[in-house]
Amino acid sequence: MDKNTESTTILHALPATLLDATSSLSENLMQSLAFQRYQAADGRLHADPEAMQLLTDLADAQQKIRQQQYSGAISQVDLQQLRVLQVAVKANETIQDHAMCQEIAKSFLREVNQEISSLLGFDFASLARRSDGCC
Amino acid sequence: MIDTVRNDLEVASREVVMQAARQLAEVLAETPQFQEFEQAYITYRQDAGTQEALQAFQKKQTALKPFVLLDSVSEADRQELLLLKDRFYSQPSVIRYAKAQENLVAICQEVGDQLSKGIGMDYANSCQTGGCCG
Repeated sequence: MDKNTESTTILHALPATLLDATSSLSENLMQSLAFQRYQAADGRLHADPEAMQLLTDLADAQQKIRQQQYSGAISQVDLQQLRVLQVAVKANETIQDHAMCQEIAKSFLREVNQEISSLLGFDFASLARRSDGCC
Repeated sequence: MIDTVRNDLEVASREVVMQAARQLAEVLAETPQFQEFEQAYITYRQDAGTQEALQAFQKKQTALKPFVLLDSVSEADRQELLLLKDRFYSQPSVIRYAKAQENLVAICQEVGDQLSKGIGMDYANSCQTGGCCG
């Protein structure tokens, strides 16, 4: 089953009232201050080539060290490079602002989830989680 | 649908978002999947035969725990434990409850997927605290 077909099946599986309520919540979330700030920060991050390059370099360096950990031979030069990148990322205002705004948006999402869960009597997010969506 | 009240900056207030969240919960609670889950849970809890089968299984499991740790459970005890486990899981109220839970999870996952799509962020994993597998 391709992704488009799968998506259509899902839309048909949900009753219209539930689909409407779901859309309403996501639209309102996107209009909330926390999400508006996060979207703005995300836009600033993607418009900042230096910040984006730093994140790419950091991800590459982390991947390299992980591979070296598996083989049991960590290069001190690569480790030093990783530390330099970590410091640079921590010092980058755009990246830090993005991380902070993302955490605030997630924190708001957790509050929203608590509101839903308290009415349902179970943790909604736990049931909504797909097992392949994590590690 | 709820009447969305926004201020001059087109920002949805916290209360508006929470109202939308409550509305979603209310609509979800009206679905056949949720109703069946609630009913199946009540039946499961009130079914004397099921509760007796559960207690018998748990009692045997607890009694065998020290032997399990020492890997010295006798074959007879092992068979008895398996029989008690099968007896519990074959109770109609347990089967019904498990099926109801499976259907409720499916609809919650679909709603979660739609929310994730709408907000551009993985809803369920974002609500988790303590990291990915925490």
